Amino acid sequence: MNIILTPLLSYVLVYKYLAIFIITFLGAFALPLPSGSMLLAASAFAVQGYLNFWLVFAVGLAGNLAGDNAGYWLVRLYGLRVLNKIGLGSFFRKERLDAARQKLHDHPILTIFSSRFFTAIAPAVNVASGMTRLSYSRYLIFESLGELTEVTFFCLAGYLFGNNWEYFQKLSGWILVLVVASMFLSYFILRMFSKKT
Amino acid sequence: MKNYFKRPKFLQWLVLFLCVAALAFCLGWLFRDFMGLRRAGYMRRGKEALAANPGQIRTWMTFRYINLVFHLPADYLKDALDVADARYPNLSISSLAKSQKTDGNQILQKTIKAVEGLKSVQ
Repeated sequence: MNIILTPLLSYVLVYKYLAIFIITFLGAFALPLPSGSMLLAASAFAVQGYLNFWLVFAVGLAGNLAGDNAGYWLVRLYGLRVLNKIGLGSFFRKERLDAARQKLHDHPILTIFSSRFFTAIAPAVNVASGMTRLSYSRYLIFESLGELTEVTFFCLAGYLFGNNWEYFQKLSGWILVLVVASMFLSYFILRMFSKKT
Repeated sequence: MKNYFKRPKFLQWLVLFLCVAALAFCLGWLFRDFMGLRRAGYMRRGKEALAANPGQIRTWMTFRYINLVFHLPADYLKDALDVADARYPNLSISSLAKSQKTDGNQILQKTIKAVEGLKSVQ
């Protein structure tokens, strides 16, 4: 099992919902923590009677949303100021930020929504969204939908597998490839047909 | 012939076909693995759940959790493993091993044996 995941699971068993909130928050905010696998395990613990399934779901979702929004607002409010102070502000010129914002605005599903499934990428997308001052309502809609989908997916998997949630990892690789391939394919088809019209 | 292959329409359709083929391949493997796990009984069906197997105990598990999953008396493992740590049962097997300065796998094997021993008597 993942070397980072095993101590996280011990914390979940000892500190329960507080640990779930903190781990999902930190995973969404900045650290590449396996919060999806942790939610999968926590849902299995709930099925076994150790935790409450709906509380696991609600706390996991709340932690993810709080982490994402904290990252977005921190960068939006202070990002450029900090970069200017350390001398990197000139790299982030207005034209570059405007161009990046337009890309995020035009492709929210490929960027904001889909990045919720990849703990290594999600914080970077939050930073990009805050730095470019992407419309908060647009960011919030796709970020919330993405987190809701991700949390539902892992909690449902934990519910289905119960005691044997570790075997889900046998399937998770294919599922991830499938998700990425589907999104790429959908985007490609949309582009093909929009070019035709 | 050269001009035909250079036409963007042909290339686009070729890429689309390859993407769909790759997707179908992934779906097929996923379905195969899913059904394999289902047949082997690794998934719950409705309210049925596989009984917990002592072989599934891991070093990251706490004694409180192990007691719940295997329906053990609260102090059974404390006596069986001679645990003096005040954090019991909110203590993982790996934490116990650290405090006793022993190998986690040794404590794990003792725990599994203790659980199997009680289950065979019940």
